[in-house]
Amino acid sequence: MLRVAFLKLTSCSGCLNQALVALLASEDLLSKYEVVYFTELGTISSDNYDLVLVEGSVSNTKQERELEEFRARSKTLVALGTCAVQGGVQSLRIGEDIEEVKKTVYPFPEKIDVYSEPKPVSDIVKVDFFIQGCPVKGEAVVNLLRKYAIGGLPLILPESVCSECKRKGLTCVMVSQGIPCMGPITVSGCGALCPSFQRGCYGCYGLRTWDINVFKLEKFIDKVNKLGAPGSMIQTALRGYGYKSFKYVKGR
Amino acid sequence: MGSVYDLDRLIRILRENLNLQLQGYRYHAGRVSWGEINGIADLPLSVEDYVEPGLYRLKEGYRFRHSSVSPKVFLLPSEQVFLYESEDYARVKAPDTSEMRQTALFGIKPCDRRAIEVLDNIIGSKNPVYASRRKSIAAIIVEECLEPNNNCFCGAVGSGPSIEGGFDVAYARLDEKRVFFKYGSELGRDILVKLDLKPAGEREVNEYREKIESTRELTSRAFSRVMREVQENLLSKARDKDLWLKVSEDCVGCGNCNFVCPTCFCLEFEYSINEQNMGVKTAQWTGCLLYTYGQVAGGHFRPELYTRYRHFVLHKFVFYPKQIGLIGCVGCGRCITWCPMGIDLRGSVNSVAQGGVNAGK
Repeated sequence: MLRVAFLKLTSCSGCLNQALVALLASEDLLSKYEVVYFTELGTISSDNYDLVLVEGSVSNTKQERELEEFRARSKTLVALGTCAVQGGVQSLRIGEDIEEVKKTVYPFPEKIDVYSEPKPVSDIVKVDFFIQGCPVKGEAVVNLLRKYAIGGLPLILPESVCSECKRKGLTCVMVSQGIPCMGPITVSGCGALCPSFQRGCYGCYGLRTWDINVFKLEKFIDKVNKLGAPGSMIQTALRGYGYKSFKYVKGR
Repeated sequence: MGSVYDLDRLIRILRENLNLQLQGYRYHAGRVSWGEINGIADLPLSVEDYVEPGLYRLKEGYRFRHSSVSPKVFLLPSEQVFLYESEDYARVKAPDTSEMRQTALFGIKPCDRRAIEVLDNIIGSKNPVYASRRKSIAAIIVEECLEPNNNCFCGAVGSGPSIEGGFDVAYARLDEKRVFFKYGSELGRDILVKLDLKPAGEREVNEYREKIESTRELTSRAFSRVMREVQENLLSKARDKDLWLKVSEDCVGCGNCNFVCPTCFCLEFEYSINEQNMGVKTAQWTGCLLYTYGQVAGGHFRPELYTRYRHFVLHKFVFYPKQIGLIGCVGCGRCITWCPMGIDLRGSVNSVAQGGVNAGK
């Protein structure tokens, strides 16, 4: 049996729920994996792990230590979801006064120990593999677990959301209806969920930061601006889902 | 000469007398997609596409030209399971491709027909899925366009607006009601005999010819040079990095142009394991504009976006002709229409061919 740990940092539990449900729903995997740690259930048995799936971004030094400890005790560590991979929606607070943010949200802000910039998991420890998504797709996790069980890791081909729209035969909401859509600059993997329901993509899987430079990003933002994209949509996409690129964008 | 109601009779002959399933542009719920045509109600007869670079609107009218789909959707599906294999390779099976229902393509355009010719030459029998689907096509019914949309340039690449061969029946709508028919094969002649139409008069033949010629004129203006010069200049400027950077400055690498292009045929394989512990090898559409396209074990041969855009343009206009003797671009304008950034291929080709005059636009 492979020993798998589910570690949750600063996040909403959405990815871990996807992962857990996917695991429990796949009979073939239940005979191969044993869940030995799950943050929300506490330690089931604390030993070494074959696989650690990490959800969430890193918010304080305590989490950094925790993450390092899990890294040291695991063979393979996988960052699961946009928060773990890029920082996630918590990054919306970057650039704001952190004390003000705490006061806005919490009744006892002095009890909240976080630093102002959430960090992706890869800022702290070596990450062997990552799956993007907000939340990740259960199928992607199942695919990972099946490949890992035979001694490998899947090959993920991160493309644009447009790729999935076109393969599904959907008509482009941006070109045919003028609906602002972040799909062209967003990582694929969701199966073009929002455009399937006649809505524009808001970039939750993360921006394709390795392929789009600031100059192209600005051109694209001009385009969706002209279509009347609400400022909040662009802000969310750039600051929440584009951790690595957002700071360099003009007038964010 | 006939009317739009004769199209319904034509559909019935193909379906009932020839026992074919019909595939073509299907109008349903406010959009034109690809699908099965069962009757005249499925045809996009009372809609018209209005397009600009990066813009598409379906309006009332009778001159439907394009949507984002093309016959490629039928011939080269976006996802094709190629292989199932067990862990020890003891059990390997390919999907059954032998049983395809005999099919008629209905209402495809002359540019679409040219695109199929291109695919035939590039893929042919190399892909079993394509081969079986291609083989199932027993009849081709073409609709000629008598008025182009803003992004059409079939005249410039010689794929339209009229069709001279490779079809069975072709029709063109002179106006909302009147339809001009012609045949291109023995089968087509038999079908038209069964339709029992009244012969077109001289006035109608002239009207048809005039409209074809005006469409040819309108769709031939795309390039500022003759095609041979365009091709020579594209090749000689292939290494002018600054020029290609300028031409591709709006491109974000989303790959929409590849997916909507009726001649883009690239597939990538995805491997997964199913619940029976069988490896599943699935081919799916990819495109040279996507980052992962140039990624190989050990590196990446086109990491910079401008090199991928350049490849798209050069492949269509320079490399296809070397490979198969045909230009890979059929002038349908889909890549222009469905580019979310509104990049105009005609403009790109012109600015390179002219050495960077109005680059990109």
